[in-house]
Amino acid sequence: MSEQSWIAFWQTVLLLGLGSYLVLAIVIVPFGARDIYRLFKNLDARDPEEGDQ
Amino acid sequence: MLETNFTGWDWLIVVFYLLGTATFGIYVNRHVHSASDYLVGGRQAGTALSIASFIGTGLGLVTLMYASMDGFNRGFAYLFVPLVAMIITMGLGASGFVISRLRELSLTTIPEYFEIRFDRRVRVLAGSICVLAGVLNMGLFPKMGATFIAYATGLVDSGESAETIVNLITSLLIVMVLAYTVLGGMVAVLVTDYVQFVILSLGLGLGIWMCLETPGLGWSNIVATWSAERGEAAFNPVHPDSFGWTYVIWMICLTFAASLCWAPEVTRALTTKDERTTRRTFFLGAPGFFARFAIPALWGITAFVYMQQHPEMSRYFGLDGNTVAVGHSSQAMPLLIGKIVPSGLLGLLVAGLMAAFMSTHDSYLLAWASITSQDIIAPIKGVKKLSDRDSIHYTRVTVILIGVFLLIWGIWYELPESVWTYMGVTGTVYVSGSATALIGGMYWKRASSTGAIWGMCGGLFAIAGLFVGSLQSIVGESIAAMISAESVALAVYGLCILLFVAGSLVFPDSTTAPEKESAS
Repeated sequence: MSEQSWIAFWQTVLLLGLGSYLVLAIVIVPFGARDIYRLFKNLDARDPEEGDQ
Repeated sequence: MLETNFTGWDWLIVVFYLLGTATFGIYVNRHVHSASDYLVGGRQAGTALSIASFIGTGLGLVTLMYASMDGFNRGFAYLFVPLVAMIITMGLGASGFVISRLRELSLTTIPEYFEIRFDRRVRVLAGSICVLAGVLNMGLFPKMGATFIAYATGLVDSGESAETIVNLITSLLIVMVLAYTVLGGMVAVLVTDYVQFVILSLGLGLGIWMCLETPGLGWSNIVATWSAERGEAAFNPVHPDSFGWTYVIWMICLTFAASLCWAPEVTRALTTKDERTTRRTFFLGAPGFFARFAIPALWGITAFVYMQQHPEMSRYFGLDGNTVAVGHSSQAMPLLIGKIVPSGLLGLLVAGLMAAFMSTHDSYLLAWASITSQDIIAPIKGVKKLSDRDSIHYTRVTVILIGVFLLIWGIWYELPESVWTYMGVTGTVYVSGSATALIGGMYWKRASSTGAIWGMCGGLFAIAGLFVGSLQSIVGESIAAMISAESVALAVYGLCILLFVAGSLVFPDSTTAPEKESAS
């Protein structure tokens, strides 16, 4: 691959990789907050003696 | 020259943010009712929270530092590391290779698997090598984090000695992270990882935007400068003046093995509510593994261009061709961030990155401490499982002991020239042998306990990669040219596989794998 091809390659990889991360972050923020709420609720509702699932 | 845009207001933002995070971490302790809650969050984490924690754990300030150092020294070629990490993580999530089985067994730690599949000796050995490699690997973290804070905030320009400032910051951060890891456990880790994922995503985006929008920088200028200074080697990782094939192949082996058994990150596979969530966490979280290396590498790449444009800086970093600046590359990215991000936003960014420092530490501390209590202390005491009280007690004591070690190591240890290579080598000590035993144990019926022990001991040879200079001086010139940290580490992977297969064939176990797993 020539130098120019490598530059185009990394530009594409960065756009795809960081674009995916942006989408991921937008989805994770609200759903992560929901999971924390559920985590606390489940931990408090669980009988400590029941052990792992 | 070392002054930045960091002001008193920025300090206020940092202090409030850190106090808030620590208080929150301690507060969530009220939801911890058992050892399972403390060590693996009761295995109740959903997909989104698992992904946030998965990324939050890997996205530490130390990752930002070493990735930016390699970006600064090697240019765009370093981006092959995040690309490999993303592809491997995505592949594991899609296939469920190893990680599905780990979750199905409801393990607390990875070495626990070795007792189920092999025997107790293998578990204790795996736990011991894992903690040795992990704590050594982590020993560099505090100084790296403190270096960032000292240079991004401009504290080193205050007249005090840079070393004193770095040591004071190191001590303060370790005390804070110990407090909420000891009190909160995995629930605190999961929740604070989430908060830090949110703040860091904003901070990373801000950093990239400033790199691309600051006058004199921008994509075209950055690419043109690197092209003029280094040519194709700045973009092609296998170019002879760049990393080269040996390094690239070693990175593929290391990333693959670490994804399967590097405790702090694989622990996320154990904390999810079911096997399906584990696979989704790996698959959907893969872009996070790309971003965690790629964004700081881009900051380092941009720092190189920025320093080139300022003659005084260029001299300081040895870029003018007339000066030699050993060990300064770790200061480039923090200085760039401190100089191009405006006050206020800089406070938020530094707060997020300091939180990232703590986020990595709490996960690592908990991972090594839980392995010590579950896989070393419990088998030595002759009990199958420690009581909840003992388990939490020993984990907390170990967390504090590791914290004390980090404090001493962080203050006395000098940063090596290549931090990423050091970390790769110390990581190889454990992951080369353990990944071999893990994969062999799951997918090869004839794998035996002796093979696993031999394979894991083979990984210890990677320590030689830390003494490459001494090795080169002993052997002849022609052989010395072939010896490097990456060639030693890569050879160790082959050695582990060879020893594992040989040990298994020569000394087979008396009981078969399915019999052992069903008996457990």
